[in-house]
Order: sequence, then C-alpha cells, then structure tokens
Amino acid sequence: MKFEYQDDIDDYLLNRMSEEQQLAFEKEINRNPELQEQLDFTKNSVRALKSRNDKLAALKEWEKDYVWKEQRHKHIQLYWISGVAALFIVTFFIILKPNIKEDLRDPNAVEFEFTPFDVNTIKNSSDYSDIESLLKGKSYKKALESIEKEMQLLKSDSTNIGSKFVFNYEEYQTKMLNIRKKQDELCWLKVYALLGLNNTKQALLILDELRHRDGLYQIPSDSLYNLLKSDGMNY
Amino acid sequence: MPVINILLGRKKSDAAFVEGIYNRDEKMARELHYYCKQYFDQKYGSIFFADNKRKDEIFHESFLALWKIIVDRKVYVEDGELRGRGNKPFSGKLTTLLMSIAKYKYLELVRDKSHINDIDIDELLKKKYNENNDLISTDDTDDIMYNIIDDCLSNMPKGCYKILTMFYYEEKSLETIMTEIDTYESKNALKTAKYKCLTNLRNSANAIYHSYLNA
Repeated sequence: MKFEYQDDIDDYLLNRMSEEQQLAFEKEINRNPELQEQLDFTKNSVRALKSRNDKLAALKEWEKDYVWKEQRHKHIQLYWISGVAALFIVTFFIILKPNIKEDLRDPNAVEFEFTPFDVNTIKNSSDYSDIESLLKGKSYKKALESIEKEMQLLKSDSTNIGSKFVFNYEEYQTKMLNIRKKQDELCWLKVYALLGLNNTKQALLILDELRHRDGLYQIPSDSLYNLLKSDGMNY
Repeated sequence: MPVINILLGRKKSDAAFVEGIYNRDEKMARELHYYCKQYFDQKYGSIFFADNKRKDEIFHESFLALWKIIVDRKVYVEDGELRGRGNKPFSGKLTTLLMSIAKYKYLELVRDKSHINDIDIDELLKKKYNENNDLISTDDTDDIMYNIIDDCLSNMPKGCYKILTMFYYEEKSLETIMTEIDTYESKNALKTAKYKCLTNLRNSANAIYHSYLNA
C-alpha cells in the first residue's frame, strides 16, 4: 500500500476527477497491479463503510421504535393491571358497601339525605359549610357536636356585643341580627342532625320554634314540621 | 410458542423475514430488529455479562452481521424453506444465529480486557470464520475480503472509524473534517492519519483472510 496512490484512488472513487483524469487513471490501473490492488481494497472499504453506516442509521431509528414499543407494551400491561385492580376494588366495594356504610355512619343514623336547603338560594352562602359536609357524610353526631360548639360561641358573642356596643345602638342591632341569623341556621342544621339520628321529637321542637320566628327559615321550617307531622315519617 | 405467535400474527416466520429483508423490505427488517432485540435482551445474560452500553453495542454489531448474512444471501429462501451454503437446508433459527454471532462479537470486544488468554480467543475467532464459512454461499475472493473488511470495521478504533466515515461515507473534504475534529493541526496530518487507518484496516483484514485460507 503506497501513500502516494491514495489521493488519486480517493478522487477516483469519490468522483472528484475530470473525465480526462479518470481515463488516465484507469490506464494506470491496468498497468499497475499494486495500484489495482490498493484500489480494490479501498473500494471494498468504502462499500463496507457505506453499507455499515446506512444500516447503523436505520438501526438508530428502529432502536427508538423499539424503546417506544416496549414502553407502550409496559403501559398496556400497566393499564391491564390497573383495570383489573380497579374492577377488583369496585367489586369489593359493591359487595361490602352496606357494611362499610354502617361503619362510617353514626350507629343510629337512618337513610336521610341532607340537602343544603332550598334556603341556600336565599341566603347565598353558608357560614357552616363544615357542618354541612358532616351532615352530607351522615356523621350526625359530629355535626351535632359542632353545632353545639358554634351555638356556645354565638352565645358568648351576643353577651360580648351587649357590653361592647352599649353606646352604639345601630351597630349593636346589626350585629345582633347577624347572630340571630346564624342561630337560626344552626338550629336548622341541628334539625337535620337530629333527624339523622332518628331524634324526631327534638327536631320537631326546634322546627316548631323556628317556624314561629321571623326569618329565612320560617317557611322551610313550617313546611318540614307539617310534613313530619302529617306523613308520620319514620324518623 | 413460535407457532402460536405465527398463528396469532404476532411474529412472522424466519423464512418470511429472510425473504422480506432480501427484497429490501424495510418494514420486515424493522420487525426482525424488534424481535431480535427482544430475544437478545432476554437471553444475552446466559452468554455474557456486560453493561448496557456494551450490550447494545454487541447487539448492533450482531444484528448488522445477521442482516448482512441475509442481504448477501448466505441464508436464503427456496421453495418456502430456509437454505444455507450448498443449498443445504438451514435448520437453525435466526435468533439462534444472532446469539452465536453475539457470542463472538463479545469475545472480540473484550479481547484486550478479557481474562481468557489471547490464544483461546484467537482459536475461537478462527472457529468463527470457519462457522461463518458454512453460511457463505459464495467463493468470490472479493466478496470474502469485503466481508472481512466489514467485520474489521466493527472492531476499528473509534477515531479511525470516524475519519473514514466522514471522508468516504459523508464525503466531506479534509478541510471540513479538520474543523469538526480538533485533533489535527494540518491537512497533511489528517491525510496521514486517514492513510494509517486504512493501512491498519488492510493489515487486519489480510491477517484474517490468510488465517481463513489456511483454516
């Protein structure tokens, strides 16, 4: 292999020769077996390099495809496992639902759906959303405890207001009105909690009180009171 | 299991792959790559231990060799049957052939670092060419040399491979290569390096060619 031959061989193989140069080189090849041998070797090397690099480029592309397919395969497997697990969980809950319900709810709770009153449309928002949540979740005892606490707070508030605004009657009136609204709301919530705990008697007492009091809860209380009385519902 | 796969349309037969790849069907080659890669990932542990980079390198080289065997018609399909040298039926599977190639590729790769002594590896590599010889259905010297060069390229130092690829495959000028590889200070230095790479490639190929002839 001769260094001085290589430039011409490269130019010939990479088509970097003019036609004249090409013809002259081909004549030289026929005359010089050493050059011919070096040309053949370089030609084979170029052919092998081209074939190898073309294939490597394709392999790179396929490798991405492989990784993507494998990931997809894993995802599909994961979806299947999740699906089966979900199905199992759903079946499990469907079968055990009644027992679980019993466990979560208060022991004496009855099937009673708490609807955060039609009154909500009138009063816009509730200050006692936590209690409402407890009622919706049928945790009537906890709800009742919270209601009692809130009632205590309101009681002390009203006492404080009495001493604080003794010289500002208008402000005192506004504050007291607010406290009364909240007391009514708590009473209404208490009715639900009591009905949930099957304590209809006490619920009726509160409803009777509410329906005789002016305010947002007067009409709903009256209607619920009459409904409970006339239908003889099993609360 | 392969029968079930074929019945379910999950995997084509080896004959279908060989036929498809020989007819330059890229989809078939891609599909064979997928199954070979899956098979290789599952089985390579029983042949050698290697980190992911080396494992992938071995797979690439092995798959390229397998692909070449098919393209060069060393394994081909006749009357729906796979055949090898001398029109003899080829009873093996493509994946098994891939793994036997991988075994040798691994030995070539670890040649310098292996605890196996050089004589053993030389023996094994010699055996490889004899085994490959069974697959070679051509007696063309030029073709044999081409195959050996192709094999030597896979074991060539990376720097050399890069220079030769840039010059002959990407057809870049020496000036352009110089700007892309900072190592060379002058065009002549790069030209000399390229020439040395070719000379080393030729020496290795000739050595293997002669050992093949004497085998």
